[in-house]
Amino acid sequence: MPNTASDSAYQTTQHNNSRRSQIKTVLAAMIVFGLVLGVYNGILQLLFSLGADLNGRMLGEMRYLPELARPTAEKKVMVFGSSMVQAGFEPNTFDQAMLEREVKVTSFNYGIGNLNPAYQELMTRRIKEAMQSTQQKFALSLVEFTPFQATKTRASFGKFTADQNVALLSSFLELADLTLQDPTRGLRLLNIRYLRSGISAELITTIPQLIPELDEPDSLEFIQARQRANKARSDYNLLLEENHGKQSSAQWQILLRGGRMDKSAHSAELHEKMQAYVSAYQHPLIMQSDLDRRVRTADILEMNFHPPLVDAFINMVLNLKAVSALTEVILLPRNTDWVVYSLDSEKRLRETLEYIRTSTGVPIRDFQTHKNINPSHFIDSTHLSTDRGIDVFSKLLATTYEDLLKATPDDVDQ
Amino acid sequence: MLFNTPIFFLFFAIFFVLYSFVLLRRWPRLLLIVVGSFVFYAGWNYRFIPLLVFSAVVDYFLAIALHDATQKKKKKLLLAASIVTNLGILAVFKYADFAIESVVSLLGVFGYEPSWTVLALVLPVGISFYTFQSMSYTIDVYRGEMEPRKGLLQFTAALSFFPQLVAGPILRAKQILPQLEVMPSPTWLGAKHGFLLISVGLLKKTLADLMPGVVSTTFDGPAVSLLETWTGVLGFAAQIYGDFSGYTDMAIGIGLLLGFQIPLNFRLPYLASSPIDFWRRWHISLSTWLRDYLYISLGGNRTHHYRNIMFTMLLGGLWHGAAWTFVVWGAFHGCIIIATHALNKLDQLRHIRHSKHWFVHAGKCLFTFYLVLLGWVLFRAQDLSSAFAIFANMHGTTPLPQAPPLATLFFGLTLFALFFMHGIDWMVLRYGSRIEARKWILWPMITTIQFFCFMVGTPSDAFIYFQF
Repeated sequence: MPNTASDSAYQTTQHNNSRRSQIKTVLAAMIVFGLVLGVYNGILQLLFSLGADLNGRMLGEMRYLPELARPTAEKKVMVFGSSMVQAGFEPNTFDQAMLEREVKVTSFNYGIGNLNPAYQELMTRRIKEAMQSTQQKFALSLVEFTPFQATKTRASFGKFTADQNVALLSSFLELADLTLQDPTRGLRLLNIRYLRSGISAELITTIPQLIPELDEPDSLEFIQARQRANKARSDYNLLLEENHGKQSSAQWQILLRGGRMDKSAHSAELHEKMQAYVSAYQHPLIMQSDLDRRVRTADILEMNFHPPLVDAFINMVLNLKAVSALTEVILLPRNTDWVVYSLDSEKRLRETLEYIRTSTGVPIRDFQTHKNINPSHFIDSTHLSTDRGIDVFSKLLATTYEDLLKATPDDVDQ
Repeated sequence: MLFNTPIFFLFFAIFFVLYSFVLLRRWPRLLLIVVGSFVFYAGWNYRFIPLLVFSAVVDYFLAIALHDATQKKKKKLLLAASIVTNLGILAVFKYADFAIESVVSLLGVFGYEPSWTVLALVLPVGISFYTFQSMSYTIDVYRGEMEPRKGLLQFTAALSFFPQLVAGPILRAKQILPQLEVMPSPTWLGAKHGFLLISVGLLKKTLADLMPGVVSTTFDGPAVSLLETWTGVLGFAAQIYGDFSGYTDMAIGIGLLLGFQIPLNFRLPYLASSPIDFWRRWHISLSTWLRDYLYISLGGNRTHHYRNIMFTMLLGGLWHGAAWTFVVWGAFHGCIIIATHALNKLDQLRHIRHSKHWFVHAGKCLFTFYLVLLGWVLFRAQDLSSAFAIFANMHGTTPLPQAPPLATLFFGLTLFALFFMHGIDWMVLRYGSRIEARKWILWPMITTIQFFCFMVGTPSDAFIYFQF
């Protein structure tokens, strides 16, 4: 108890000052935090509107799931995989080739780069949920197994995008569940998803790692070859934009079903520019540099597999199998001039494929060394080229799956 | 629960609201501090909370018994019990495996190969900090420098006070207990300083988190070019400073938001003009603890001065970690401090010692920084042979690969980060109160720093000093 009236007044003043300062502290924290969030998200939205694209394709693939799952008269074909699918499969070409064989299909390119099966598994969960919600099934699901995406090296590379991918691909309930199990990680993921516009701090900090040019040889010959290739690509993109408006292969567009714009609409000059760009990139030094990078970041030649990633791939297959009449695992064509396996790595691959086959009960079709595809069909050590490779492979798939799709009943709904 | 993570933000928001607006009396606030600190600690491992409580209970009762004891012999026994208990906890959890491995290695030299196995115990986070803090209480009571406090809850709150629980500063009982008795009212001036320190600490921590790449290139892989070696060594100097001083700045800032004063732990250490000066600026709470409770107890500069310095620095090194690299790091600092004392006695160097010329001062600072860098190599290297290899690489005495194209850029950025961290600290130390008085400078500055940290932070990285 205060001894005197003045003591009491002094304590009251102290108390009021303290209370005022505490309220001001809360207000200041809220204003600073609000400003930081506002400016951060404002800048990101501005960058997105200017075409910056860090998650565009992945988010597009997820955003259009209701469209994907909408009942249609045509049979649905899902081609799911890595950037090799993204670059190597053209839905329009495939659908047209099937139509010529009197099979009406609507195919989707769900290929995306810079992921690994751990995140792709989350994507397939969302696809499965969407298809089950409309009681639809794919007539055929082709799930690409990219051997170098399931290696130990790949698992350790790109950890900076791990939380971001999980945050964006998980459902709210999955995030809530994770938060209960591991509050630190769960809150970090919720923060990325709901406060940071889906962009993690780790990604921003490590953006330089995503720029391959920073990690390339510095010989004059290489630099000149790289400059020529970049110039050829830029010339092609400029003319493409001039003739057909801005095109972004990084964005997943429902109208193109994940593919690219129809090349038959290209002018002769544009086609020429495209070929010049592809051939500039096929320079041996650029090819070697690309291969070296894949060796460093994904162990593409030795393929020391990371069992958890192989298991995640198996779950991916099972998720799609649950909503498909037919499911197959495929291996896309390999640039055999550059990607040459040793006997040991070949053995590891065969063993892993056998494990996948027995675990999923799904057949595996290997296009790695298919006679229709040769190294000239590739733009780098792994991806099929935009000018020819993509067409040859899309038609090859149509030929391969014609009979199977004909045999699939028209009504494959659940 | 790291300060720079969303979970801490949420934790502190709840804690602050409860502390400031709901629990207004002293006792509930003490309880909140204890419970909140345990929740904070449980963020790592709730299993070690009993160890913390054990330390608090033992020292609380020993301090009362010490005070009540009339015989000097009994006082000594009670003090010894406190020291043995605290050091025993440290010995078991932190040094047992190191001791076992060292003895096995030593016996191996003589041809014996005992089949002893290491305990592989998990090191409780912050154990080195709170055991030292707890010991300081009983020692102060023994020395008659403070009265034992009645109230176990208050002492537990002092020991577990979450802002400084896991990585310091080592808050002595006589610094925190009087504050917990009066539960100081936060002031707006203190809160503004707290916001500034939290922001500066976060900025340094964010910059430190950008360093592991260049540091690892030098310390964890094959030999790299001369430029990359220096980048790695400077990078580690920046990383450990930004990481540790950033953490303690945030701890002091958080304390201020609650109304508590936590003493400064760093004062521009890389601008030290001698190794002695360095230890007056680096991890001040540890160096003063070692000075007051170990060095002076050993006799200080009255008897066996150099022996006392070496012993103190060896234990200081060992405090940082159970490995020979830390012991050698401590010995290295012991040697350079002794050498400084010896040189200071030389009459021939009197004019250098007393020179006020900026050029001489800059030379002394640079040479001290060079010695500190050599120390950091010992501190960070995987083992002693790696450390010596890096010493050789730093001085170009071995053939090294050519620097890659971006090496110069990374060297420049690392050096910039190091300067920047010190620059901003210098600014806060020198102009902090002026900045705080001008809201049009303070708040844009805080918002800009917070924005930068929100943009590029790497919140998953742990603080280096948690492992000590």
